[in-house]
Amino acid sequence: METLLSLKWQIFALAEFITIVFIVRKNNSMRKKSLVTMDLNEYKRTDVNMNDLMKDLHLSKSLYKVLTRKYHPDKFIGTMNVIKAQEIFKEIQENKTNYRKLSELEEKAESELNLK
Amino acid sequence: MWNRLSFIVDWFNDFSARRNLTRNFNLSAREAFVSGVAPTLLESSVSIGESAYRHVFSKFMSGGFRIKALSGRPLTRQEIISIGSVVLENQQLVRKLISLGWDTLEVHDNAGYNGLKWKLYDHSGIGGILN
Repeated sequence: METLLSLKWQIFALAEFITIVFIVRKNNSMRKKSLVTMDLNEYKRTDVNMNDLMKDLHLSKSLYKVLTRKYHPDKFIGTMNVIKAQEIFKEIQENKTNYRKLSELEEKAESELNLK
Repeated sequence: MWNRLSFIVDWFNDFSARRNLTRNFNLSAREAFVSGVAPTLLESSVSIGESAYRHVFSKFMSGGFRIKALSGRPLTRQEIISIGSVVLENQQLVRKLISLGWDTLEVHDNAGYNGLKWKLYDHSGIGGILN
């Protein structure tokens, strides 16, 4: 009977020990996580829109060419819209491969520069 | 033991995330080709990658993200560069590729012998942290 009781206590002690070890190790591993890992794990969860990427790959080049020709700041020399045109042109150049952004800029340019 | 268990769970999570990314890319490329948006059909796959381009998060023997263009004719160097540059200018995608263990971007055609490789690490824009 005594041996059975002691065995029971030994099992309890072992289970308690394992739980403590698990908690301590978990805390340590959380502490060890560097900023790099946290940053990169965030990027693992973000979804990249592949349909937009396909548009970037196939349509952005032609749209960029059209926009650079249509809204070149030289076309607005001597008008009130020169500065606006320069700003929009700069944005167009910065988003050369971003189709969605280029489409937005086209709308913006049409409304602000009064060109159709 | 617990660390190893979490390592195994992470490995499977990464594996499914990598698979989803290539699958989504291929589905979108197929849709774009069928709808007429894209003149060439693109297909992504996993390759060994370039050993010189490895970084700390690289996956063993599968660090290459390969984009194959089914163009039917050899692509010029400029055309390959334009495909690669669009991918590399998408910061979010590059960072995702790096975080999922890819280190090399490969673009090549199906007809010729042309192909180019880029080191993703150089285009991630998080060099400050990785350095």
